[in-house]
Order: sequence, then structure tokens, then C-alpha cells
Amino acid sequence: MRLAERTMARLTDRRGERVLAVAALVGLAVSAVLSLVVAPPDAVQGQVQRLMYVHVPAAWLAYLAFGVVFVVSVAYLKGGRTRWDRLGAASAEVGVLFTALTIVLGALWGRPVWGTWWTWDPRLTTTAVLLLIYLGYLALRQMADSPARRARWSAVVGVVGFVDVPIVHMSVTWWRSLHQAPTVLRPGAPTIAGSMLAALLAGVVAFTILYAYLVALRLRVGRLEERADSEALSARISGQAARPRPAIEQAPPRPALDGQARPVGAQGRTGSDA
Amino acid sequence: MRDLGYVVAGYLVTVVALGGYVLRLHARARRARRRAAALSDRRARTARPGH
Repeated sequence: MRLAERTMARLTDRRGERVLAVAALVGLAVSAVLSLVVAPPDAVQGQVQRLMYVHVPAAWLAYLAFGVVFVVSVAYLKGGRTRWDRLGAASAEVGVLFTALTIVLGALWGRPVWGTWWTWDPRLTTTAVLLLIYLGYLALRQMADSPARRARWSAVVGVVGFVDVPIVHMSVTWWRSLHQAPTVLRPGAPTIAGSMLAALLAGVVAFTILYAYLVALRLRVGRLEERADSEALSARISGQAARPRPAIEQAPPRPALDGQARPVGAQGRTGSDA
Repeated sequence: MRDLGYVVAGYLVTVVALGGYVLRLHARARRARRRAAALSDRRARTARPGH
């Protein structure tokens, strides 16, 4: 865990973030060349199969992002450290983006190949459920009223929600599906041509670096927003301390024991002399 | 040739979604930094004697 913390700290400082940004840009450029120029068109599907080089990495990155949410949620529930909660929130947000992208790219691929944008196929349905689970995770983070409760509830959802990830992956094996079976993450050798596999792996590597960059950037945004919120709170507290307390000054006069109302100033200390 | 449109659309959606998210995060970071700086500046001014 110490090593993970050190690596995270190094990757999320400004220099690490810049290195990740440059590496992600280079990786995406290489991946684009390999997938659009070097890899041949598919013998059956033709050019449209090139969508695989963005659709599959996006799906794998969604798995990775939610895997990270699972691991840090367990770490938070075990140790209660806020940094795991922050990392979980950042990873879930990026994971939701990749899941939504997977669904949109799948629809764009499905239309010319299957003749439909969407069908209630097990793979598509379980992926839609995955998106809903983590949208719920992000919504929950907005609703909880205390940071500790928010972190605890989110960690529980982060652990339970991850159950859907293996279901999504295995859905094409467990149920009869229109979606093709795994070609790389399967028992035995990948059933894909070498140049296509190289383009696909380049896409996965580029998207993984991009994921690390997005998480680092999202963590920095979180830190800056927390700083702004704490500044706002300090400003409110110091503003309240500088103002006299009106509640005591404006209190109605209490009848004195002898039945005479006492002057306001005689009732006690006011905000200005406190 | 018609299928090429789906490929172009797919790559375009990917660039717009990921690029848009990066730009949005940068905008949020800039806004939070400015807000924190403005608040701390105002607090420093009100804390100074004579204000």
C-alpha cells in the first residue's frame, strides 16, 4: 500500500501530470496510425471493423477504472484514509466516461454490422447496468451530507457495484449473445491477426496512459475545489466573528423581578464585548 | 464507403468526448484556483487593521 501511495503521489504532482499528458498524446497518435493506416480492413466487416481499436480499449479501461474503484473502496473501508476515497471518486468518473463511450461506439459499430443501434443483448444490457451503477455511485457522492458518510457509502457501492464487471465480461460466454465472444482475453491464443492485435494493444496502452492522466487531473481538480471550499468556510467564519451578535442585542426585554423592564444593555454581554 | 462514415463518426465521438472532458477539468481547476485566490485575498484584506 505504501508503494501504491508513493506512485500515486509521484504521478499526480504537476510534473507527473505533464509527463502523462505528453505520453498519452504520443500513444494516441501511434495508436491512430496503427489502427487507421497499418492494420488491414477486416475480411468480412470491411472498414467499419476499425471501430474495434477504440471500442475495445474503451471497454477495457472501464473495467480497469472500476477495478481501481473496487480496490480503493476496500482500502478505504479497511483503513479509512481519505485519499482512497478521492481516488475512487476520480476513477469512477473516468470509468463512467469510458463506459458511455463504449456504448456509443458499440452502437456505431452495431448499426452497419447488426442492422440496429441497440438491442437488449446480454452484453449490451449488462454494460448499460454497469453505467447506471456507477452513475448512481457519482449521484450518491453528491447526496451524502457529511464527507465521512459519503466516503463510507461510496466505498460500499464501489465494492458491490464491481460484481457487474465480471458479469459483463462473461455475458457473451454464459448467455446466447449477438455480441462476438472474446478474441484476446480468452483461454488459449488470441483469435486475431498479428497486425490487428498490435493496433489493438497500442490502443489499450494509449488509453491506459490517458486514464492515468485523467485521474491525475481529476484528483488535482478535487484538491483545488476542496481548497476553495475551505477558503470559503474560513471567510464565512471570520466574517461572522467580526460582526456583532444581533441575537442578544435584539432580544426582547425580560421583565425584572420587581415587574420593571430592564434596559437592553443590562441583560448581559453583547457580541461587541464578547 | 458508407461504412467509413461510421468509423469517422466513432473516432470523432472519441476525440470530442475525451478532449471535452480534459477541457472541462482544466476549466474547473482554473475556476477553483481563482475562487480560492479571491477568497484568501479578501480574507487577508479584511484581517488587516483599518478595514
